[in-house]
Amino acid sequence: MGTAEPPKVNAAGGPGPATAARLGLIACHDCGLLSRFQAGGRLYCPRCGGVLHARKPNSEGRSWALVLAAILFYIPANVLPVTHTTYLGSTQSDTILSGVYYFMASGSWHIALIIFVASIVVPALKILILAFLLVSVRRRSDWRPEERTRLYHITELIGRWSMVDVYVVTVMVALLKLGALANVDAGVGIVFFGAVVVITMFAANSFDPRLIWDAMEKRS
Amino acid sequence: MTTQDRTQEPILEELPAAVVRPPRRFGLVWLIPLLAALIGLWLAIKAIHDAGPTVTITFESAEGLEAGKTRIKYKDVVVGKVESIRLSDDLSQVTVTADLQKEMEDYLTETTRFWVVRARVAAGEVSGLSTLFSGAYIGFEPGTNGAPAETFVGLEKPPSVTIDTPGSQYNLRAQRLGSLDIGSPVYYRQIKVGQVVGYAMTADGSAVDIQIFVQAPHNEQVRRNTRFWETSGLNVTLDTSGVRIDTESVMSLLIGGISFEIPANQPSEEAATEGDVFTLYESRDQVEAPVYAQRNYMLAYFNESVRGLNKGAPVEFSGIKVGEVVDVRLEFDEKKLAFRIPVLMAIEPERIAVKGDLKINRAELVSKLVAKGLRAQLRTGVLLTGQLYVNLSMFPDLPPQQVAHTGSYPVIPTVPGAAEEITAGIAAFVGRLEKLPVEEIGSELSASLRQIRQLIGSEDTVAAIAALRQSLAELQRFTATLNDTSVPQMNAALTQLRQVLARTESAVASADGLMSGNTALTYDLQQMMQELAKAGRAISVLADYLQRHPESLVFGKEEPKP
Repeated sequence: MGTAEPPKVNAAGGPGPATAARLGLIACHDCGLLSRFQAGGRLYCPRCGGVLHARKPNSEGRSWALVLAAILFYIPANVLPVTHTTYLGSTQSDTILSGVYYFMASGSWHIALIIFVASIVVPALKILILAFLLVSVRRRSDWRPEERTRLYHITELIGRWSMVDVYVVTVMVALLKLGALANVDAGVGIVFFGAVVVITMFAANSFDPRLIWDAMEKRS
Repeated sequence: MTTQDRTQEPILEELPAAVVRPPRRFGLVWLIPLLAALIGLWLAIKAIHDAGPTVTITFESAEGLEAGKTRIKYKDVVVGKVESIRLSDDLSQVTVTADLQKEMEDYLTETTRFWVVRARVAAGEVSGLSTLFSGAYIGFEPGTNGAPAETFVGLEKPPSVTIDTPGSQYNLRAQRLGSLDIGSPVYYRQIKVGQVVGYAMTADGSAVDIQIFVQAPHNEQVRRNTRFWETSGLNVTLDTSGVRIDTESVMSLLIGGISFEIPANQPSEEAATEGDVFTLYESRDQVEAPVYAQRNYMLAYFNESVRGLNKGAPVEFSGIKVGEVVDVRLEFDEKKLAFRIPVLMAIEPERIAVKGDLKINRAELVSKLVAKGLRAQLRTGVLLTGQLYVNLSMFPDLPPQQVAHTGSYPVIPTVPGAAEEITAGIAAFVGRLEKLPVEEIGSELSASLRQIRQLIGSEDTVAAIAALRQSLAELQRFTATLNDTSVPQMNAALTQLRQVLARTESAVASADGLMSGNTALTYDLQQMMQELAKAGRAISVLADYLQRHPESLVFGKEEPKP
């Protein structure tokens, strides 16, 4: 969320804290010029011609779309195998969950925990948090906006760490090429898993946290 | 965002107004969930569509099987996977549930077979070694006929012949199984063309039925008159023709096998049809022995030892087998208090080519032949082992004999065998030696000696010796006179003779010089001889050439080719 927060100027006529939106102003992302809000269609910066928007355009809709796509991809990502491991002639296909189970069964519970958290909990959590934020924004909820904003920050922050799994598979596939002795091939599942991670990152990115606070302003 | 707000803030008035353009169309972002939905839907449909049949297979043991891992393979292509392994309710068996690919659905019938492929090192075959590393898998053979099925009983051993192997199955009936087993090879001209696929006792338990499978195209070699025989292990035969060792291959030496062939003396008949029943002979000899339908039995009584004459020993006529010994036993005649050995022989008349049509009947023929001198004789086949055989031969010098009959068998008179002849000869010689009047000879000899002694000691002898001495003295005198008178004359004669010889020598020497020296005569002679020799050689070359090219007399000599 690289957008500049509107300066917290005390607005003379408004009951709440001053925001650019309340003052009817809009900042240009490209050159930083403040310009007055105009009703009508799409707004452009009078100085540099950049696209102006008070809130991320169609933030809710985009986020919803991406969250939905992430949910849809989350299913094959967990059902389909992510690796095909050939060891001494026998090929074994593993999904993320069976990998976690394998590591747990073989005693490496810490590795199992890392994989479980990074590959199963985090994407699911991201999707859930985003869905929750979107629902709350839609319902114009004023429930703990600060905590919700923090939740959003966490979502944005941890999103990239889910890619660990994709990297692990990529490295393993590249390294373990010992012919019939041992071989690792990537399964289709990892593609969907990568898609989930990337899409949730985009979803988080397209969500505008200012929407959380807009509801507060309307109330106050 | 109301107009009032703006008017209230004069600083903000100075800010430029944003440029307004008409809004754009609906966001493309919704394509992403749409795409995701489509992919998800496609995956779901594919999963449902590809979901193959689930089958239940029972095995004796789940050794090497692993739920979720063990594959089901057909021709080494994975067609399914074991999903779960459970014990049956009574704990006697293992129930394996497996998912198969959808394509296999049509091949799951009553005849479908499943078996566990493990590393197997059995007699004659080593299979499934790859499973040592990769773990066992379940082999699958599609069924082609029968009602569809979902529950199967797994085989404990891989079937040796899969249904897609072209070939035919035949049944062999044998007295015993021998060293055959499922998988034992079947050879044709020592090439492995099939194998034993099963065996079972016949319903009444009197024989063993062995099913063999012969691969295409060798199954065409199985004709209706094809003979099968067992090549189990090593077959060592010791008979009158020496030691024979028969084996088909080292493999069959170890594990046994079956060979088949059309008997050499028979034309091949039409191809056998699948499932035909053949007799399994115990050895190649049994197969190769031509089957003669007609057998005539004859008896021969031998007085000599028949040690070395076995059942099956050949009966030969002038070295050609015409039959075999069927029975040898010892008979005791109470009245005569005598033993005799009847040897029953089977003569196969089909072995004998008959010139013209045989008109007289058998009994008459035998009696006629015996009258002409047909006799049986024991002979030694192999000196080392003392194997005997019966030799039938014509002895025209022997006094004619009548054919006796014992039961229905004609009895061929016998003559002593070769060994017996020698023994008899020696015995006769010894007998004659015994008859010599040794004592008489001795007494006569001593009488003669006595007479000699008397002769020496008599007066006549003494007188004769004195006379002899006198004569010798006279002879001495005569020699002395001869010395004195005749010798000088003889000397002169000898001198003259020497002179003549010397002269002759010089004459010969001059003749020699004439012949051997470098005189013109000798040279001419030599030249002439050489010329003659050359001429002779030329004539011989010409003759040689003419012999090879007689046409040159007419056409002239051929130009030598470059």
